[in-house]
Amino acid sequence: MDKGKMEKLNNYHVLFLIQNVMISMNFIRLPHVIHESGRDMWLIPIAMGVIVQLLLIPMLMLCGRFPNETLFSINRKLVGKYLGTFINLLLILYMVISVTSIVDDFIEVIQTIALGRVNKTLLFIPLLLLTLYILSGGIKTVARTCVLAFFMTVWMIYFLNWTFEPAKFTSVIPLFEVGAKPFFHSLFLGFESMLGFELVLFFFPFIINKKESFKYVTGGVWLTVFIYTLVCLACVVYFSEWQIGNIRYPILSILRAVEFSFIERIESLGLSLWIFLILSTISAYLWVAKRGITDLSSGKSQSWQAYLVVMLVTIIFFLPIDRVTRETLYEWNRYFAFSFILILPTFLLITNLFRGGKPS
Amino acid sequence: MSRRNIMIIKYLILLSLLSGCGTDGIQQASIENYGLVGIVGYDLETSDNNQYKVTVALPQSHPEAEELTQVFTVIDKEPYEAMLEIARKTEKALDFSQLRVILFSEDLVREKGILGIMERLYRDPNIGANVYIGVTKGPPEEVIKGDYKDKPQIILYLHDLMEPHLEATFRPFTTIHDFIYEATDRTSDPKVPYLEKIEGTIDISHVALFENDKMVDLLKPDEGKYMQAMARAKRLPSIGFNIQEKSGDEPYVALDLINSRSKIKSNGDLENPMVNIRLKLDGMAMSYTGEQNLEEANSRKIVEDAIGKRVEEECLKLIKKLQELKVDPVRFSESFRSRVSGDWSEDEWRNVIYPKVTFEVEATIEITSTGILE
Repeated sequence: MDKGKMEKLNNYHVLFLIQNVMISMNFIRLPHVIHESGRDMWLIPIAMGVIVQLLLIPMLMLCGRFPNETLFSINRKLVGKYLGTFINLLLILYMVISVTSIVDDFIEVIQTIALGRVNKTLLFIPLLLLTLYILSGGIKTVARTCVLAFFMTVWMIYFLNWTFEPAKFTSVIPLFEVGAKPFFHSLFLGFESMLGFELVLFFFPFIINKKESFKYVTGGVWLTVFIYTLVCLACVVYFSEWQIGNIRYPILSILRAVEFSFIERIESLGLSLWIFLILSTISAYLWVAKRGITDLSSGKSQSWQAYLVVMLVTIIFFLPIDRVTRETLYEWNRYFAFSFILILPTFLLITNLFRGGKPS
Repeated sequence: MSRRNIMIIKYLILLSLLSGCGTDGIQQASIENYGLVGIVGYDLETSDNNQYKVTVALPQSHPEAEELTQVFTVIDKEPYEAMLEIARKTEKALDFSQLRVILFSEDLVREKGILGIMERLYRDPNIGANVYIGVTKGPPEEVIKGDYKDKPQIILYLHDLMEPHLEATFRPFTTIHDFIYEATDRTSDPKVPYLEKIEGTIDISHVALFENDKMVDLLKPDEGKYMQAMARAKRLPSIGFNIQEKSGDEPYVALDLINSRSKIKSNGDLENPMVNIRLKLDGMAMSYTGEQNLEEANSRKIVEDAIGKRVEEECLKLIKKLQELKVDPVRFSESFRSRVSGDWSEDEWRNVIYPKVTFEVEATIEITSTGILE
């Protein structure tokens, strides 16, 4: 591998990294989460795509001004050492809690659907060990995991054709039955499934071809939007509104109906392969957290930093707090993500412009 | 990370796989010890209408058992509680992952909505979505326990019977998902095959029509064919007609291997609602005994038109029946809903709009061949 070189990520790495970090646990229940928007729900991913596209502009402008630095060092440079370090700590915590919530969520789904009797710990340990292994290879291994995850799971889209009965296609005509308020509420609730694109702020310095990166980041985002839209369309055709409102994992329910003579219950297979999507997401988040700790300490990447972030995840995962507190923690984490991706890049960009606009 | 660390991690991963072999005091059952439920039947207890009678059938694999199927019946207020009671009765671990057919007695579906029971089954992640549903004349217990001498064991027999195959397309192949979809959707009503036990066979003799989750009436197989044709079934089993001819005769003709297409279009006007249905059927003409020569294009056209007229009449008769019953299994309402913006009210459709819709059916028939004899 190209150790020692800073720039490691090819164009297609960027595309799949963005695309796969976005798709994780939230996607499995996305149609259910946005069910308030009724039969217009397939417009929501498109709307979310537009919002993400707008948010990407200040992010990549900021990155373009500091082509060799991650957000952690940009923070320290622009808002001062102490405040910057404080923000960095928050960011590390955000990454770690995000990972915990994804893992927690995944284990819950696995326990509901496939392995009801298996202990949480036994599912948690191999997942995190695998992540640790991916982390040891650096960002390029993370990106390669993303490419692998994409091709291991993308064929499942084929099964959506089970749902597309021509007789029911009139249901997808957008009539705006529900009005603006539920629509925007669903947009807000559903936006968490777009989170992940903000990681570009951290791996931007590792991209080889920085000038064209905007194109590939956009490509990754819209690939995700395309998949989301397709699944939402399938759900609108296949489920009644009551069903979408009540089925927690609509994608798995679609797979449940797939019938072959040689294999039954594809959803167990689908759920097992979902682990690729989880792995790619959590390893990317943890890589960023590790990077943050690198930045806090010596500035040199060392393996104890990876152990430390995994340890943090483990601690939060096994914290003896009840379900409600845990959910609140994850919810606040989400709000933090929303505000962070909305405000921070723009704020830093403006600060930079006021300070003379010159990249330091 | 050093090589040694990676090695250690690899070992740990392998070790963690071993954990699947552990036990937690309760022995995991091997496949022979599972009672794989194949059929569940629900009925109302005759003396007390608040009690359910639940019957399950599971295969018996033990070589010493005389019967190949075990059947249990339990009466309880809660259908779910009844299942647990059955679990106590059998020597096996009850498992629903191989459930194939769910039966309801006619009494139950006419008396009470069954969405509650269906929801409970739909919620269970072990139960697949391709479980077929049927309504039985009389208690399902009788159908399950019936003596079918020349048939395989009841679970296989019933599953094969309920599975989609062309000759049975007069009736819907309703799965658990379809039922829940149609019962909860605002523009459709469920339709379920109706089973009767006649001597040594089970006959799917009718189609049961539902209003939401309650049964209202039955359709005959012929009516079922027209309903399926309008509801966009792509293929239909053979249909026989007595067509009107000039001479006053009413010769018999059957269409076979039918490909069907249908288009339902509404005017989108809820004040003066109108629906236009275009049916296109093409198939092989069989056993025609009338005066026309089907080899000639012109006379073939005459027969085609006569059949078309017949189909239109039958469809209109069926639609009238559906309108009177206020059920919409063909999803006529969808053609309005998709054109009217704003909230769609199912009640308003059922009680106000549906009865006053004017229907128009245009059927185009094409005879593709007439068999191999002159």
